Amino acid sequence: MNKKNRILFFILILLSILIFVINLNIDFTVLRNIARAPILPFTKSVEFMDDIIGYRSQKKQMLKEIAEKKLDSRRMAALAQENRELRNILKLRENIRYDIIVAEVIGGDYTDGDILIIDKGSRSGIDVNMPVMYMSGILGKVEKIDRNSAYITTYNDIDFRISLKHASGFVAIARSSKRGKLVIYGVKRAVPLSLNDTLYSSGMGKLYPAGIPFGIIDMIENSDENYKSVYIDPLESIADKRFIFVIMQDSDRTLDRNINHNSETVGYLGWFRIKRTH
Amino acid sequence: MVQNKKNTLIFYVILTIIYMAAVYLQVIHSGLYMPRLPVDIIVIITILYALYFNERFIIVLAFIAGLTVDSYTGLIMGTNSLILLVMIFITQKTRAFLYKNNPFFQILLILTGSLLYRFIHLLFSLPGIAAEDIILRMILSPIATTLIYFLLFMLIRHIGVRLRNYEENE
Repeated sequence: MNKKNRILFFILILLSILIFVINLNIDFTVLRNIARAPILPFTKSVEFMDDIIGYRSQKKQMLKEIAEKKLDSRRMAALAQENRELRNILKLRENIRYDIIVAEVIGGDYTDGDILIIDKGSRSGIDVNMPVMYMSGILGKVEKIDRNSAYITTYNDIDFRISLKHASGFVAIARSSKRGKLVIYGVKRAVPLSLNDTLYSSGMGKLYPAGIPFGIIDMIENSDENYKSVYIDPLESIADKRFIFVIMQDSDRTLDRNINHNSETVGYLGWFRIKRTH
Repeated sequence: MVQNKKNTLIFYVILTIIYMAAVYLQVIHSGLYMPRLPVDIIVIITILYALYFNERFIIVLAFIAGLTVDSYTGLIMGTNSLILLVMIFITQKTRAFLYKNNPFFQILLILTGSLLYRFIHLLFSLPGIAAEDIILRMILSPIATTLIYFLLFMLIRHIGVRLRNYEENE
């Protein structure tokens, strides 16, 4: 240590002792604040980094909460919808003159929309050929039953037929046409049918009870100079159904003319179903 | 000549920043996330600076750093300055007798410095301190400080060897 350094060293030692002694009696608030300055850049930078990390984690947390809230809101909307449906079902049960069984749809062919599977079967009193409907109209009929489930063939099935009645008294059989529509061929042009007229089940054939709405006239096409084809848009769609109603009626009411329970479908030839009889 | 002065200035600015970073670690994270076992990083860096760099520079730096540590720790102003200056004095005096690059000499100096540092600190905070803390701070803390220095030394030496090998291969 050279002389200059030694002098500096002792000056600083003395200064330290002086500060120490004075600080025993007087509080050096200003000096303390000044002495903090050398490491302020570090403390500020670390605080800044902490803030950024804090903001990031807060942002993540908030995004998570928003996602949860959105999910909750969707769940609530679904529950509200279900609640509305169940209330409507209750109301319908009070007003309808038929005995109905409410069943939940547990499966089906949603692509073609020609089959629905429900969670009620023979144990609940469901039988083959019982009509199936929802709030506004007919959906189809029970095709097959198990103990705890049943298969419904809907109006989209190519073999579907239903006898419909117009307010004018006109009655005809509608058959499945292009997907989601039914058609009545060979209607005389003189029959007063117009677009958006509602057609009801006629009750003929005793399969579907009379007076249940089925659909509205969507299109009228003139086949030739004497006849026209009437296309019907069903009131109820198949795809969005969670519940359906099976109308209870005595099995002897239905005329089991076309259905052979011992036969099974093995394929299709155009519009025709190929069946094999056991 | 001007360029050389500029480089020297930059060098001392960098040294000051490193020293202040060590002071920051000492006052804010002295326990390195072990609150009851403080590691005296300031002791390590002061002794190394006293061994290798300009005397006047380290004397002034240690005095300022001591005041900074006092202002943050709430000790009487001047305490840490005094300890650090004494530590520099001991280092300066002993390095004339021993080889300063010897790691055992450095470890011995750091252990002594840390013991001194902890002892003075203990004197000022003795009335409000638990007995188990006295053992922790008086014995374990200097050992932890020395150990940390040893690990740092090994790391730096390893990096140095690797760099030298890389340069030789180049």
